[in-house]
Amino acid sequence: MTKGVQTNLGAADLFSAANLVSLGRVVLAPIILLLLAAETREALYAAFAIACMAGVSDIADGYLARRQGSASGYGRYVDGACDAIFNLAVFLGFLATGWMPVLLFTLVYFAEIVVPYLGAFSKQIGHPFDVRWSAKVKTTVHPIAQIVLIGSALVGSGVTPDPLIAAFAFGVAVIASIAYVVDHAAYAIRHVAISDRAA
Amino acid sequence: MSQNQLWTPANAITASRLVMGPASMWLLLIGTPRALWAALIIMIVAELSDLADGYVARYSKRVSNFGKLLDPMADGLYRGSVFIAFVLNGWMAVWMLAIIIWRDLAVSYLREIAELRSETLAARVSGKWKAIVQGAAQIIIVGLAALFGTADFPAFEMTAHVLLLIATAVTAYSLVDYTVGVLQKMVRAG
Repeated sequence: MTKGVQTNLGAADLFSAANLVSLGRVVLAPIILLLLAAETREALYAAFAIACMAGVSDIADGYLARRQGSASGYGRYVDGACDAIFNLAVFLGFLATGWMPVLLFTLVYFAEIVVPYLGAFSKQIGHPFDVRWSAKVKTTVHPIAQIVLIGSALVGSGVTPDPLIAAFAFGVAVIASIAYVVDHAAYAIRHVAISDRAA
Repeated sequence: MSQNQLWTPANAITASRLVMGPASMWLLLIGTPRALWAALIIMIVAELSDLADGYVARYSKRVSNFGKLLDPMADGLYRGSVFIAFVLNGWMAVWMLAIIIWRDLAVSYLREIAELRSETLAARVSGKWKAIVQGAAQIIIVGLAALFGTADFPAFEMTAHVLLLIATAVTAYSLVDYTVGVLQKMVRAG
């Protein structure tokens, strides 16, 4: 039996108001990617507005979920998936424009793919994740880093961010991603070891 | 589940693709003829390992649910790494990579949702086709680049574009197929 999650969920639970707000970020993902790849100041202004909208929607869906009492259902997973899809779209835009080094993008990409698999694995072994601190840190740090980066490019006269700000923002974002994957992997490994000792 | 059940020979073969992905990416980004040949060899080994791990698991009768998760994760990360190099080399449009990455992300969360309902999301035919088409496209493209060079082979860009367009289309279809499959199961279960 899993703990901390509902297991008697149907398809209707998937389309709650909170989840629909989350799914809005999936619609925004290709738009912001195309805007970033356009590399014009007008497109950057629009990308900045979309990044802010996505940040607000991430706060709004959590608020709606808690208000409607649906926070323990599919919401966590829909929110996580929509965050990951939007964030990787933005980081992919940064990679395509040459703002983000390939090594850093690869680390963020690996973390985003690996953690849901660790989540599925932790359910297999009967110890599903609660929302962990590292997930909260990552979902806070990534949007702020993205908004700061695009904002920094707009403060200048061109279409590239200040190199120092870029280094700092990418550094913090990647550290958050590494912490995200290490924390979840450590949780899964710890629980496999506990199962071993119990056996 | 014990650690012995996790580290089976089949899972070790699968996990090796987690190293082969970044290694192929690095070699493709170096881009010299020697590096392209080395990348091509690693990519062929990676694709063979994708066939071998399932065979080894079945032959040794150690098919595990963990392996069923590790295999698609390693596949996605390996091929995703190669596609990242393709984009940076100018061989692939960024929107194609976005669709491929989004599909892998979405399916990874669908697996988590399926596990929430105590089901392990089985591999679907569309996922197997996606793997075959992506793997074949990658090997053909790197093979052409290694054999003829990208500058001396005028049809390289067009060939790569067509192959990657097909791979992206099959990937998008697989995303729709997995999503519809999970939703249908949920509707049937009420």
